[in-house]
Amino acid sequence: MSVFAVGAVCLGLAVLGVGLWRRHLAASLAVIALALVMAVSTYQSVEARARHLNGLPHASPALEQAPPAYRKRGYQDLARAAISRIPAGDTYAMVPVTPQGGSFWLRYVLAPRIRVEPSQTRWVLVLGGTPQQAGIAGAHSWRYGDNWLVRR
Amino acid sequence: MIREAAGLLAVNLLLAALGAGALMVIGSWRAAGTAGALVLSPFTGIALYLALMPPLLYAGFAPTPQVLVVTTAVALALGVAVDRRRREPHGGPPGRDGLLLAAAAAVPCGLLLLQASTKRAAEIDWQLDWALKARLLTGNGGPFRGALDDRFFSSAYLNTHREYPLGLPALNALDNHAMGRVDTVFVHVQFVLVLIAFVAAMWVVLRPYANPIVLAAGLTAVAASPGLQIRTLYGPWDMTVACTWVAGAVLVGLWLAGGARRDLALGSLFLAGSLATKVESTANTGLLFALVGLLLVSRRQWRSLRDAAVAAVAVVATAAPWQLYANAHDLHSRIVQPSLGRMIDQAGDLPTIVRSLTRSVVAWTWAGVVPLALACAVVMLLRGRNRELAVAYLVTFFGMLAALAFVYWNHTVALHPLLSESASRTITTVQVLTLVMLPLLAERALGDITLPRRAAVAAEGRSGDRPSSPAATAWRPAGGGP
Repeated sequence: MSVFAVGAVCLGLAVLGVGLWRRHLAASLAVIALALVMAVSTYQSVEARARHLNGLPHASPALEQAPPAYRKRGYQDLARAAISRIPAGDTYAMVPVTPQGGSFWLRYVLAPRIRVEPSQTRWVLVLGGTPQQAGIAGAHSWRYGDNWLVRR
Repeated sequence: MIREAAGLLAVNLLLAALGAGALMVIGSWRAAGTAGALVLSPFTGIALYLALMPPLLYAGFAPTPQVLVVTTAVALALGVAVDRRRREPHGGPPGRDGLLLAAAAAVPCGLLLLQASTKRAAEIDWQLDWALKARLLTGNGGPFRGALDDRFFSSAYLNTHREYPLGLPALNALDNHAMGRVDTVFVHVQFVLVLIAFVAAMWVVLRPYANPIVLAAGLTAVAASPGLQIRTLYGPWDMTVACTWVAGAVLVGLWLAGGARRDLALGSLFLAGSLATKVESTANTGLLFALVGLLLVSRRQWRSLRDAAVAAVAVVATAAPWQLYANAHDLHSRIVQPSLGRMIDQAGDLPTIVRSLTRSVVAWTWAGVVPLALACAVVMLLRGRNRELAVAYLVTFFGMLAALAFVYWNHTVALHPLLSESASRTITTVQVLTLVMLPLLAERALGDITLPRRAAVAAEGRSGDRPSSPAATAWRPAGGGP
């Protein structure tokens, strides 16, 4: 995209610059200088953009998808169930039994539900263990891989 | 996509109307002429929304189109009431010069819009900060009140940049409401609109002081700059803070040159928008007002110094509520903590910091822009052409680099990851400033271009606010007026 866009702009500027040559020498010099700067750095800009696209998280999944490392642990199903069961204006807590990671993604995908401390809500997501191991007692609990959704 | 596009268009028209009201209150509506003011309105409205919405959130209001409609109606009513009492004539009729910029910038902007409409938000900052806060603000509260909740800043939200102000999440939440759903794809279009609005605003602001062809070429380079385009798609918060700050700095510069207080007021509004976007703007804004104060003291212009102090206090006042709240709740990030002891201990890091910043400032913009701008400023100094402008650019450029170096010098986390993750982003404001200033610098360094008559009249009008201002003449191109 950039090569054609910048090429067209440079060509237009160069034509303008040459056209102005007799009437406004300085203006034409400035325009031609700008056109040259843009043209010369087009190659570099495309390279920089390509490097950015390949090197940074463009290739990573959309925010709504669980990070690849956590997909096998049932996070996607846990999140889907939590979104369907916990009302949008309600609160929830997360209790990791063993260090799991991925809580940032769950926090994001569960918003606008507000994350609070376990003692302040009736919805608890237990990660990497059972509710008993986490010391969470609930009226209902649902299992998703190593994780549980508990309603107290 | 049609629903999303219509929603975004509608809220941006409302933001433009909000900006129009602000311009009427400030007095820039008449000065810019109706057509010029209409072009200036969208960016003014966006900056005002960024600055205005956080205090409204604290007061219990929601970032919804309904609140924006009421706010816009109030701003327009206030603007019309104030504008009617003014006796100044409206600015001259619009020329066709603007078509030059529109034609030149249409290609890069159009292509960027297309790319933005399908760009997925995959960056971690969306998840940790911007989109998370926008989702929270969108999904809580009603159509008018109750979006903000103290619990968004509890310890459960550690690592979410809790210290950042809420201007941009509020704009995202407004877009979500307008599009009818929480969106992390099409919302990128909003930020391309910010960039386009910025370029258009800079045209209106700088047109009386620059050759239209050179200015159109320079501003097209701003819109097509790979560094800024990448920031628009991959770090729109950095692009937004850079554009609002640079617009503010340019208008403060115009006030110094021409003495029109409406320029200072509008510049302050843009700076307030910048402060409400990211905390990084704090250092740049402090630096700008410090430099302005030093200049005015050296010139013994006490009335102007008083005006600058009032503007600085007003800008700080817009950011103060959030800073007080963040301090009270200990939300501040600890990755930078200035202290003399730390600076002495970490003095060996300075060469690395300076090398990284200088490499970033050149690498992430058009490769030749920064050297060309610096060379033009030096040529202006050597040839005695608009030395004040050259010195102003050089001092601001190196002052901003020094401020950034100072910030990184006081790092409390590992330096190399910090630099590699953030230097190319924090440098964006310096790059945008250079891109915007390049047409003025190039024009003045390279020759004696005759001012178009309309521009000369506008320049006279500005200097008429303070007839004795020496800077007003210094700002003009080397050839002087007709």
